[in-house]
Amino acid sequence: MTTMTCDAIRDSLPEFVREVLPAGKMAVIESHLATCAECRAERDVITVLIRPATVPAGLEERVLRAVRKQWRPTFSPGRLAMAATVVFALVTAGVISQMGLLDSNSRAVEDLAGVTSVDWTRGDPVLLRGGLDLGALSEDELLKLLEEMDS
Amino acid sequence: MTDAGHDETALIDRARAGDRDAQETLVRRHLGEVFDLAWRIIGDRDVAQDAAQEAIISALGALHRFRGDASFRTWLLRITVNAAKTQFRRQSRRREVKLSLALDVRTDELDPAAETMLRAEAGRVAGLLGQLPPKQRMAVVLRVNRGLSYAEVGEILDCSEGAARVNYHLGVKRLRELVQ
Repeated sequence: MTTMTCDAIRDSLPEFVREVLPAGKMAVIESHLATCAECRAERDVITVLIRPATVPAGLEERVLRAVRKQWRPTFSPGRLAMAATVVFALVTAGVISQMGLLDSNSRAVEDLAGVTSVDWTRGDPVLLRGGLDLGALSEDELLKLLEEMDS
Repeated sequence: MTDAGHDETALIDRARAGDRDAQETLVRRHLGEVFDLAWRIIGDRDVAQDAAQEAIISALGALHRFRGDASFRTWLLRITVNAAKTQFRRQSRRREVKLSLALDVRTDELDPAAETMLRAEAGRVAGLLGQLPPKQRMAVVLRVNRGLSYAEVGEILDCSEGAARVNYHLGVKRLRELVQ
């Protein structure tokens, strides 16, 4: 039978205790342990250490709750303020754009008919909202928009 | 690669792509091992639960950076070691961490007499584990309890394979002396 040094035996003891070594090597180590008190003492320590811990009741649910919390966008005051700023900017940009469009239209009308002023507020309400009808968006679409603004 | 390896790789790909079921499956699959490692490093079940949660959240958050150079398990255990060290330092500043490993090993398949003996012995040895210097303790736990090779232990502890081997042997030798 092949022999192994104490060092080689001790290197393999965790796998020996787990019984995951090939049968031949298991037999060599068993035979060595029968005659070597030092290696047996090490085997005994490892045998006790190797037992798995019990996972505390409720830990899995607690961790899964924490993981699910990471999935939900949070509405912190900072994020809401940023979202409000971006929405305001979009609306303002839409209004300015609409004003510019109507201004050029009004100049054309003045040229053609001698009209002195145009009431631009009678423009398309969708355009006046910046072309983005927030009220028509679902909650999911709003959340997605917030995520895009965050990224 | 084995079927189990393919399954794990596919699961990680899905989790990385944001599949919530895949992420939960990964958590369920690895939480026991993550907790066990944190507990043996820290020696306190409550603090170890915090460390396990922190490790899992960190790992899922960093999943897009996992490139598969190491195995997912080794990568996760490395994150767990770091989370355990952070929690241990945080708790040590607040109060003395109590070693409460004594009564928490699984003995469910044993008869009552053997269970009593094993619990007493496990408590004694585990308490002694807490007396080892941190690097020796981590090398022993990763090698004995997680079944990692010296190369993997070295990778997790940021040291060479040889240093991992020396730390492991010094740790076990010290444990034997303490037990006798």
